[in-house]
Parts: sequence; C-alpha cells; structure tokens
Amino acid sequence: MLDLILQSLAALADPTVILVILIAALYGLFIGSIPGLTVTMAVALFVPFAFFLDPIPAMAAIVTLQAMGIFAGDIPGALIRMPGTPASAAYTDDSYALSQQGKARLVLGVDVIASALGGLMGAIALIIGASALAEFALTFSSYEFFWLAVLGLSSTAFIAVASPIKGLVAVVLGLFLSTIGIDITLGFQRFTFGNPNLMGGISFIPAMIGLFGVSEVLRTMLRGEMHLAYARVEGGAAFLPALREVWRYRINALRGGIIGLISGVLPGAGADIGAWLAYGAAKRASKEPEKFGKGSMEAIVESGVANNSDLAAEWIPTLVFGIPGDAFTAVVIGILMLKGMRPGPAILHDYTNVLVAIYVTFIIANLLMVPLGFLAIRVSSYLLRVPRNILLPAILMMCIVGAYAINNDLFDVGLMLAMGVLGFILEANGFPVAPIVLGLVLGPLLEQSFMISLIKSDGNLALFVSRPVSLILGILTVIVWLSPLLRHLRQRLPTNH
Amino acid sequence: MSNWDILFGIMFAVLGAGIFLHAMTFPNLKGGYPGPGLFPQLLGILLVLSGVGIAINAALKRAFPQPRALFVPPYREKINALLVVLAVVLYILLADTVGFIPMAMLIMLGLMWRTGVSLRWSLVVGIGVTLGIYLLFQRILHVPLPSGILLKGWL
Repeated sequence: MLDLILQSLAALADPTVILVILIAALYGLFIGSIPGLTVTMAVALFVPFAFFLDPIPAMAAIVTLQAMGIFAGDIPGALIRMPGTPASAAYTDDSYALSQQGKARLVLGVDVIASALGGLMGAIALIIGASALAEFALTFSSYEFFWLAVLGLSSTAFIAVASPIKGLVAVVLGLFLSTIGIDITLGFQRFTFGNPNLMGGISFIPAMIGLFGVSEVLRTMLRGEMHLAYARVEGGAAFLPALREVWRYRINALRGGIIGLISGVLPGAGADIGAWLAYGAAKRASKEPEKFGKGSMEAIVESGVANNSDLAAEWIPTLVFGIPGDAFTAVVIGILMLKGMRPGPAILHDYTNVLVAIYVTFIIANLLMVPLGFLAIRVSSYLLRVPRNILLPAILMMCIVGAYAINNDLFDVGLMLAMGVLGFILEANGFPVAPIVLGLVLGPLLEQSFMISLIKSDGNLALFVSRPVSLILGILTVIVWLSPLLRHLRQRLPTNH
Repeated sequence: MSNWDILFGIMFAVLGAGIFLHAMTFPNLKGGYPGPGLFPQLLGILLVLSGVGIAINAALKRAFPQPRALFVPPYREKINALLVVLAVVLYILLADTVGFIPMAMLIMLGLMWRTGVSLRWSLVVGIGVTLGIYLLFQRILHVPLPSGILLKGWL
C-alpha cells in the first residue's frame, strides 16, 4: 500500500498533473462561486478536456474541481444570499444573516475549514470503504448488479424529487436513449432509423453538455438577471477565529461529517440532500434552535462539513459498483468508461494506480482548499461582479466546441442542442434532469445484467432473489418504490382526520 | 401548469407505445430466448404507464384549481433564449463553410449585443474567447475545428 501511495504521489508530482490540478481548482472555485452555474455544468464542460488527458490527471482534475466547486458555492450564499450551487442552499440564510451582522469574514473562514474537514473525512471513508466493499462485491453475480442498477436508478427517480412519477419518466427516457444504436447481442440496429450517426449510440458527452450546459444557458438567458448584487469582504476571511469557531462546534462537525458520509454512500442523495439532512440534525440537537435560519453558526459548521464529506463518499458506490449517486458521479462513470476503465469491484485490482491517485488527490485537494479558498474569498467581490451576459455566450461556445471535439462531428453539436432544449423544457415542467443522465450511463449495465440473469435463470424470475445479497437489494428496491406512496399517505393522514 | 402536464403525460404515453410497438419487430435469439427487443419493450410499457399516470394526476388536479406563482419571462428574454438555439443551429449549418473563428465571433458578439454588453467589452471578450478556444482546442488538443472556405490554408 505504502509504495503504491508513493508511486501515485510521484505520478501526481508530474508538472503537467500539478498544472492540471491547479487549473481545475481555480475553475471549480470560479464556477462554484457564480450562482446558477452548477458544479455539474463545470464538469460537463470539462469532460472534453478529460478526454484528451491521461487517466490520472483527468481524475485528479475532476476530484479537485468538485471539492472546490462545492465549497465555492458557499461564497455567494453568504454575500448575496444566492447559493452558488444547490449544495449550499441549506444554510444560505444563516450565512447571509451572519454576514449582515458584520461577520462575513468569520462565516467564510468557517466555510473553508468546514469544507476541507468534510472533504478529508470523506476521503478517509472513501479509502477504507472502497477497498472493503470491493472485496465483498467481488462475489456479486449478474443478479446483484441488476438489482444495484435498479436500486440506483429508482433512488434518483423517487427520492428527493418533487414528483416521483416524473422522476420515473426521466429515468426511463435516459434508459431508452441508451438503447439507441447497435445492440451488442445480435448486432441489430435499434431505433437508428437508418441514420449512420446513431449507430454507435447516443454519444454521452454531447448529451451531457446539452443537458447541463446548454439548458443552463437557456435558463439564465430567460431569467434575464445579468448583474448580481454587489458585495465585498473587507480584508478577506479570518483564519484563526474561524478555526476556533469550528473547534467550538466540533460535535456538529463530526456529526455533519457522518451524515454526509451516509447520504453520500446512498444512491440518489447528492451533496445538497446531505447538507439538508445535517441541517435538520443540527437543529434538532441544538440548544438554540430558534437561531436556525437567522444566523446559526452550528448549522453552517454541520452542513458545511456534510456537503463535502457527502461528495467524497459518493465516489464509493460509483467506483466499487459502478452505480453513481447523482449527476456528477454519473459523469465520472462516463469519463472512466471513456478511459476504458469499467467501474466495478474489479477496478481496484485492474487500475489500482489510478484509484490510489484518486485517493491521494482527494487529500491534496482538500488541503489545497484552505489557501485557495481564502484566496477565492479575497477576490470574490470581483468574481461576483462578472456580468452573466458576458459569461453566457462564452459558455455556449465552450459547449459547442466541447460537444464537437470528441468525434469532430457537427452531428454531435445537433445532439447537444436537442438534449439541451429537451432538458430545459423538461426541467421547466417539473421533470428532473439528473435521472436522464443516470439512465443513459447505467442503461447498458442494467440491460446486460438483466438479459444475462434472465437467460441464466431460464425465465425463472424467482432466481433473481435467490441469493441473500440480491434478495436484500430487491427488498430495498421495493422499499424505494413504495416510498413515494408512504410519503403521500403520511401527508394525507392529518387532513383526513 | 397542469394543462401542460396532461399534454406531457399523453406525449410520453404515445412515445412509450411507439417504442413498445417498434421493439416488437426486433429479432429474437435462437432457441426462443428474448432478444434485443425485450428491454426496450419493458421501457415502453413503463413509459406508457407513467405517462398515463401523469396525465390522470394532472387532470384530477385541474378539477381543483390551485393557485401557483409562475415566473413568466418577459418577451425580450424569450427572444434571447430563442436566439441561443438559433445560434447553435446556424453554427451547425454554416461552420463548415464559414469556419470556426468567424462563426464563434459572430455568435458571441451577437448574443452580447442583444443582452446589452458594451461594444468595447463585446469585442474584447468575443475576440479573446474565440482565440482562446482556438488555441486550446486546435493547437494544444489538436481538434480540427472547422476552418471554413475563406480562411482555408491560413490557419
């Protein structure tokens, strides 16, 4: 293990890798601190570059950009009451209220330290959890992988969405898109209607850039708020007082970290859910629950740790099972596949060097977050001043070129546009977009494990739940399917009596 | 909005039915095993069921009208969003003839002009970002961006 760590440190010490990590850090900080531009969009636009990089710098950049982006989302939340990413939404009111009391320097300092702390906790959990789970998962057969895929997809469709039935439509739509192209069993062309561009299937990168980049540009254009409120932190954030504050609420930090880890490992719950869960737990445990929403430092510490530990923990099911927890990790799977690395229990043996590099980058990125985070806070007033009408056309051009760059084909630009418009229309009508990407990414795995299991069992569906782990996964899936119904009933009950 | 939901529900149900029927025509494996059609057929059924579910849900809700604050974007912003779509369509149609550099500048300058960016900033960002993307993709990543007929041989 030790020599592996040294090896990956040597790989990461390559000047190109260091440069890529630094650029990814600044890019993540920039996109994360601009409200409306999500970290998922940031990674979608980064994928074309990842395509040209070696696996280690590509993954290192993605880890760094994610950690920095989720932290940076805290900055506009505290300064102008607009969370930079959904993961910061839970405690935006508290951060803003404290800033208004003249404590912006302290709040932002706490944000940096809490984020770094959460990220480190998540990194440790990832390192321990991934190897332990992978050993266990090596015994999995097609039945278990079938259920894992169904469970992952069901969770994104049904948990934490406004309308579960619309979530289901989104998942099925994504799965359907994954069936387009030449089928692997018979080489039969499905849904291509003779179009040669569709034979290889729906290209993942243009689809994703459309769903997360173009639709975001359309949405912001339509909203029309091109200039954000002006805010400024005099003298940057305070380090030592912030450290004292985090130490004062160390119990919150610890609990937030654990909550983040749990919600991160569970499929379907992204960093935003982790932050909300931690916020709720902090409020229930607090001696001053009345302060929540009006400037509670406890809340900021607990959920600030939670969202960053969540995002590291999300990598566990992503790498070990190939089941992503949210749109970001779905993109990660897509990139791994592009690099020829199939996520799953075997990845630990087949690509140990890349995996250890991912672990080490998680630790480096979160340590790097402290100085870079403080720097970002210092320049945040300039970042917030960049008008969006200057950014949007540039982002649109990056989308176009990014979609084109993979196959050098204008058809992909059209695909990107179609997916962008589709994502925009669906989201405007209450359909979640993330399940589409998950369906698109997991579709081949789901179909393959389903068909293999079906042929193996000779049509006997009971064999799908004949192994202990597959039975447990099946039961969990049923619970997830029933959860919207239970939630519905619980909401109905008080009004009926 | 529930009117839209009825429409969406019906649209998805029709799409699901189409997927199901089309997938029926796919071949089977030897020995009667299900082939490439089975999975899409199941997806089609799910889509029909959920589409019908959405439509029924929306129709039921319509019977009890609920107040809902809807953000209605002003006319100007609607046109801006349409222009974004139009810009990508124009790029697809013209990039091979006109070339990447003029197209990118045209799109960015046009959108910035529309959204009220000053001419000076438009020129700085439009030219700067175009050249930046060109250098990054064409020169560093070696992606052959469309060179166009006019500038062919120059770049």
